[in-house]
Amino acid sequence: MLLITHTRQWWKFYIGLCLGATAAYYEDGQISAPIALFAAQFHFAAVVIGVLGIRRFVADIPFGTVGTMLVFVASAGLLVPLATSAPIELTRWAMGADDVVASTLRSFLCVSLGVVLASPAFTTLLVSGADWIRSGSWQSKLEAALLAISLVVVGQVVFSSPAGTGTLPALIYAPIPILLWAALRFEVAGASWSLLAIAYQSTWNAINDRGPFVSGSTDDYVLQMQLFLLAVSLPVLFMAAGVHERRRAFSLLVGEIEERRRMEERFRLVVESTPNAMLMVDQTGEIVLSNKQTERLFGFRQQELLGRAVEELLPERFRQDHVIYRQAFFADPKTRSIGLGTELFARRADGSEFPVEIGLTPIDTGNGAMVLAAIVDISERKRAEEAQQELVHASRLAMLSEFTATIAHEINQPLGAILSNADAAEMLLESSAPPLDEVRQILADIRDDDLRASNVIRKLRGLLRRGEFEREPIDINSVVADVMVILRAEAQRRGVELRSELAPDLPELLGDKIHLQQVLLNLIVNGMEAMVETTGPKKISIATYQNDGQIQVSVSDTGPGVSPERLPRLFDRFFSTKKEGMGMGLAISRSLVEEHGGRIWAESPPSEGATFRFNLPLDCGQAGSRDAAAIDSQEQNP
Amino acid sequence: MTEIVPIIHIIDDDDSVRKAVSRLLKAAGYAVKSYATSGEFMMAENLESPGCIVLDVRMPGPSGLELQSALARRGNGLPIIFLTGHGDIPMSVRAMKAGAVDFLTKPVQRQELLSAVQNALDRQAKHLSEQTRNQHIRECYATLTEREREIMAHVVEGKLNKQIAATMGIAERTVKAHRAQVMSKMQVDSLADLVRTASGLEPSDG
Repeated sequence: MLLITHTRQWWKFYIGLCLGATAAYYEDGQISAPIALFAAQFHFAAVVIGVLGIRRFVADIPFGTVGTMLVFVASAGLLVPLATSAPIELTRWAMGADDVVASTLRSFLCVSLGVVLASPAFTTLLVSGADWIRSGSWQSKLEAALLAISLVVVGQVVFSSPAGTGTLPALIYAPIPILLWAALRFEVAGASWSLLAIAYQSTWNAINDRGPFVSGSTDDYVLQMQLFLLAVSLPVLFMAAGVHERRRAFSLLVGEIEERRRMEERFRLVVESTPNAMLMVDQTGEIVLSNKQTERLFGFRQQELLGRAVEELLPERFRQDHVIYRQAFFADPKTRSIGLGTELFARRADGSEFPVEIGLTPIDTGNGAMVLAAIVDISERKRAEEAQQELVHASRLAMLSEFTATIAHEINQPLGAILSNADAAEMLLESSAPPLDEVRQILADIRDDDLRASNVIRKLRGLLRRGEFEREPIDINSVVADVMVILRAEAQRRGVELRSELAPDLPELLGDKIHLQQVLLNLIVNGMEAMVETTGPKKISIATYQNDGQIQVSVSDTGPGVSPERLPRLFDRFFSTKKEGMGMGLAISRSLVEEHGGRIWAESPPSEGATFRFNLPLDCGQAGSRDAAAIDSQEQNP
Repeated sequence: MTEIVPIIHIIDDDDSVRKAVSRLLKAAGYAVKSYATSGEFMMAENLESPGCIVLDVRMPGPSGLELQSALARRGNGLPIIFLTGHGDIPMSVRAMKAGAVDFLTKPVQRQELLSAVQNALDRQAKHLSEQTRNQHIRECYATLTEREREIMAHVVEGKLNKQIAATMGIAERTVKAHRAQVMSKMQVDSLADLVRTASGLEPSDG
């Protein structure tokens, strides 16, 4: 009982034991009460040693495994009886008793048997008896009853035969099948209770001079009986423990398998319920799992997909590279995306292709490393992006067309200079003594003017081109300078002074030069248009500076400014303060800045004109911002 | 007629255009002065001497057209050839009405420019000689008496001596004598010449 009771409750058992032992020995009349009490201390100490030993080594009470049983038998069956009987017998030996050896053996076996048989029986009863009675199945209870009846009947037959009638010694083995039955079906509890029943029957009958053991001296047959009971008990108990251990291990295994199956089912459900097509692929590239969305996306049936090489879902031209990518992934498996910023296509069953983005997650399964691929069809997004590009381009063309005249002027100036220079050179060469130095100088000037004209044309062509978003290292100051080249003449025509304050040594940022030029063009032209009715000095200042890991660009005018209630709506589509404005310029500027992961806003302090600013993060090449921009542009598309 | 070399004034804010045009005109044998802005030109000297202006329409500060009207206000008679980056018809009409000799579109052909310049110089030379002649006529006219001027006015109107005598209430002979005096003082030989000199007396349109 100490086995299953908390150590703090042990004092109760101690007192009970002291009282009980004293009473027992006192009644026996062989020794005095104080000596009995003294002996009781040893009994208790021995029990505590045994219990502590068991509790120390055995986590799994009661006696669930062969190992536990072994520890139990060693401590309860050897140490406890030894500790109990040794001091008493030694005392008796010291007092001159002559039967110390036999007595020691007797008391040792007696205690050993008692402890080994009773402890498991009562412990299992206390631990799981109530449970079994309450919730055990009726079949189990019926079987237990049958077992009990068989035990009683067989026990009676074997042990209550008249003494010394030459009973076949073989008959004493008759209870063994029943004990095995108990051990197999009811494990430790059944085995120990059955053993207890057999022990009780054999002892009771022997005390009443019946049964196969009763012959010769009492000491002899008691020893015989004790040895018989020990010889039967130990294997049966070990077997019971073994059966329990097996059964437990088996049910654990079954539970584990069940749990695994449930996990797999849950995983399947998750994979099945995601809106994306998902594939699980092993290291050899074989598809081991797919979901309904994959069927729909690729036009293959699930059964067709399983076992197929994942490369078959790619267009021919990507296949070889993909094998290398796959190997590289498994060499360094970590979550990543492919298809971002690059053109990645997948191939349907019918051979048609569609653009995709793929997210890869490594999964370590029992069957080796796998990769879970989430495939997103980005055709829609691509279409939206293209529409957005179309719009951006159209707006750029519309804006440029408004000052074609001034741009033509910018080109005509150097062309005119070239023509006049060429004419002058020709006339100089016709003279009798041509001034060759001057002619050389003229030729150098012609070259410069030619470059100047082609520079304007190049910048213009860049702006006219319909291009996709391109990411390249950009010096923002050169973007400003280019825009000023294009707008110089227009500003002059409008009587606007264009100024720039460019911070030196700005780091390069990743972005699209043309798109940033478009933003600046928009802001500057807006500023010039805002100042049409301004009577004071018309100025536009463009400034660049670095601020907190970002590059900031500002465009300020000296116009009437923007009223506070209009400021928040300024970048909305179709919102315009101009009579003939479409309200697209600033909205497009905003989406272009956001495409770079930046932010654009306007400030208009009273009577100071308006200032438009935008931020560009230096690391705007990151995928996240681009994704955000892409989604944003999708939302914005009408 | 004094032999003063005419000066071509080139006003263009674009350095390379200004340089190229002045080279061309120098190569063609003209004396050239160039200015980056209208203001620079207005501050320059000998604007009264013969020559012409090659002027860019579009410039920062006062534009070509503004310079044109400023010169007119100052009574400066230098003929102006406008150069423009692109043919802007309303602007060219305005310029021509304001007395521009020519309106050329860049890039300008050599022949176009040279003939425009020559044309302007010729016109100015003619204008100058006319001015000199009118000056002479005015000087002669100043020597006439009140009575002689009155008779000259009648003569130029084409009235006969008899009519003049009747109008003025004097003898026909007296008219005849005064008329001879007028012809001699105005240094003309015929009635036709006298009529022509009379036109020189009308205020010139500069």
